[in-house]
Amino acid sequence: MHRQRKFTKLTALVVIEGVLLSLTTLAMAAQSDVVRALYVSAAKVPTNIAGIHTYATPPKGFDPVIATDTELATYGFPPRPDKQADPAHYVEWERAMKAAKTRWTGELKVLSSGRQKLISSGSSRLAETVRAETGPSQLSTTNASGVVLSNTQTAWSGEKSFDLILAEFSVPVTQFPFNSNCSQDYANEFTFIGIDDSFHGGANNAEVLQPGMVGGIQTAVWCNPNQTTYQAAFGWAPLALLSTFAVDPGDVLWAEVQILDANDGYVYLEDLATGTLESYAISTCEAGVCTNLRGRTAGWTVSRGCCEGPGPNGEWPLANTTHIFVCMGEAENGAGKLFWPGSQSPSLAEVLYMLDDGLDQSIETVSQGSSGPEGSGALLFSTTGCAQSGGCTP
Amino acid sequence: MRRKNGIGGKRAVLAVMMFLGLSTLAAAESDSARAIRASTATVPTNIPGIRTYAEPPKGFNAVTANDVELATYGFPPRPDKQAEPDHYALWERAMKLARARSNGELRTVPSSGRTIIPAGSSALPEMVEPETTGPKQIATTYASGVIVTSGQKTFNKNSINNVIAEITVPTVEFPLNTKVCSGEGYVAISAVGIDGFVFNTGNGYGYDPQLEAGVYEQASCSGDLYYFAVVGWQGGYNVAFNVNPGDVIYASAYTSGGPNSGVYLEDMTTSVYGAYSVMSSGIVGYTANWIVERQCCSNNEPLPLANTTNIAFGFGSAYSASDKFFYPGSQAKTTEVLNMTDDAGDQTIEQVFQGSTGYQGQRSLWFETENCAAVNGCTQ
Repeated sequence: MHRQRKFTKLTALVVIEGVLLSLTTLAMAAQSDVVRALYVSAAKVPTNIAGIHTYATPPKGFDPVIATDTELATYGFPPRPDKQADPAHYVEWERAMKAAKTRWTGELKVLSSGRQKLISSGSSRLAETVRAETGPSQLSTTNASGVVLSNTQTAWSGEKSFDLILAEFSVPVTQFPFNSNCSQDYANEFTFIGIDDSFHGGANNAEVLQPGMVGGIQTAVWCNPNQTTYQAAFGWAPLALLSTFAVDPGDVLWAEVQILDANDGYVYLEDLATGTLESYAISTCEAGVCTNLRGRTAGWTVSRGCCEGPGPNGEWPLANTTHIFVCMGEAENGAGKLFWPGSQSPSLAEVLYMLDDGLDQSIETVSQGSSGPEGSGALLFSTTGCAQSGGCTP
Repeated sequence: MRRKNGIGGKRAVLAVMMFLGLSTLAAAESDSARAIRASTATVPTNIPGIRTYAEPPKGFNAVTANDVELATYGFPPRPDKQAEPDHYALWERAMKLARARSNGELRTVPSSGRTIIPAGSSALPEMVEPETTGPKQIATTYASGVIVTSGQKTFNKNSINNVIAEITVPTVEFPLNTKVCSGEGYVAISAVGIDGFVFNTGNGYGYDPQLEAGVYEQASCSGDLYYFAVVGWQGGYNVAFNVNPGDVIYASAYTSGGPNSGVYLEDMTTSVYGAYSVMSSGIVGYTANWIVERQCCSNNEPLPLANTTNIAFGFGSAYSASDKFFYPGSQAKTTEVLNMTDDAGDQTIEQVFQGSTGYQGQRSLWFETENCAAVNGCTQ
């Protein structure tokens, strides 16, 4: 797909950028608006999916660690974090950049079970969460487990909105629940970081999480024929979720999602074990109709896909992944303020637990910490109940 | 490995039933049950000093079994549900998943050997260190991880008697961009342990493991990759069963201070498990360890570290008989946080990230292979 308006902007911006930044490496406090715009305009390589573009392949010998910010944006590498203000993020970024070897160039595939538009137009959250007096609020949903941080933004703000989220995920072995004997034909699981995930009332008065601009891993298992897939995945979920390169159990995936402006996002995915990577710019506009991003939430979640499964909202059965480790989690707003999945702020954090279709047992739980690098940045997800053993009866 | 048909075990159960009654004990394992645990490990393995237990009868349910039955068939002792609810929940989950007992031969991992501790060197806890806050940070060529200390120099109720964690099995490989390989290739061991300790070599620090339960990963020079659940004693490793990348291993090492200690390993992804009694004289429950280490030794240097990208430890905890809890997120001054360096000691090659508070902060660790062990290889 062509995005000519972006192409002309790119030429001008590169010139401006050259003057303003002199191609030097900047240890900037926050990504400049100019560079941010470049991440949109430089993504001019079309993919097979409308609204999604990727970046030019860097020249041989390109080293993202020493590249300028302009070069990083031009070739779709994630922006360099501020070494002083966010040293932990810088260390992880540098590590990922050193491991980056092979840019993936395959076709994107729409995940048939990943279309997340399960929310009818105009629907809203069942009720605003009654916030706990101390610690995060606890919330059960039919499709997601994890931690979601919320601010009060009703429109995109370059300063107050969440504009960046990242984490590293372990790729687990995926299987059917123990002792379920193929009672289900299919099960899946998504491990995502996302901005603008939202809550809506679903069937049976249960809360449902609709993913927003996301990146992470999708795994799925089929009974007949017996098959399991592991894919890096991303998307603007209300339109579509897409799979990219294959990953393997035991690998670790680095994912970073940025909101660039009210209608553009950026996703970077890298398998740290194989050095395979790809990055995309995503438009939230479809056929001339745009959905505005707000940067209202930042979430680290494990969810199950929808919308044609047997669950009350079309959810598919959750695959048994035993445990998924999410580490080095972090989010940031436009002003450079940092947030973590271990947040204990009553006004900010909600901890989600996924229930089965009958709403009577947890099938994916999350363990949160509170301080220290592992306490603030890590989550441990556990498949439980009928999703772990026996299988869940629709 | 030969495995008896369980008749001996049944006799032992009957004898102890008469003594203790049949009820499930809610409290921590009794002295009698501990004695049973030691005496019922009567099934020899092919490795001297390591014995295993009779196969439980069909339909055996470890969750509802009494303590004597647990001891008889080598399942880890039931934690006290009231005093240790988190530990109990983990134990119950692992017991529910345990389905297939490993009955293959144990294999000794090549090059397993003990760290050579120079004469006159001492364990770090004995050293007088400058006043600091928080854990002691130690760089060593041998290991990365966390060591917590009970302070007990003889085994008693305050000694650490059980350490557990759930450990991811990572993809193992050479450092990226290198094909240099010799000997056994590249190895990493991720394990929980009791009584492992840091010693001062006079020229840096070493780490000497004692009783261990964990995962062994190897990228051999032929390109073959190996993943094993292993029983460790003083740096020697015996393979219990194969595991796969992406699996999660429940690892538990426990002791009652006698001449034998226990190791329980369960692949929570495949439900394969193994229970072993390990001859381990001298264990006093002084420390509990959550460690990623290099295997010892070639020319007195540990083997090259495999690139495992990241290894996660979850649900890490350790306990004493007096129900004192220890966690890998400990911020006590007596806690030691190890970061592994290359042989030259000039760069970190395996770093551990510790938390401090909250469930995850206390109980989880995140290990990263870094620098020359991750990319380009380290000069030996």
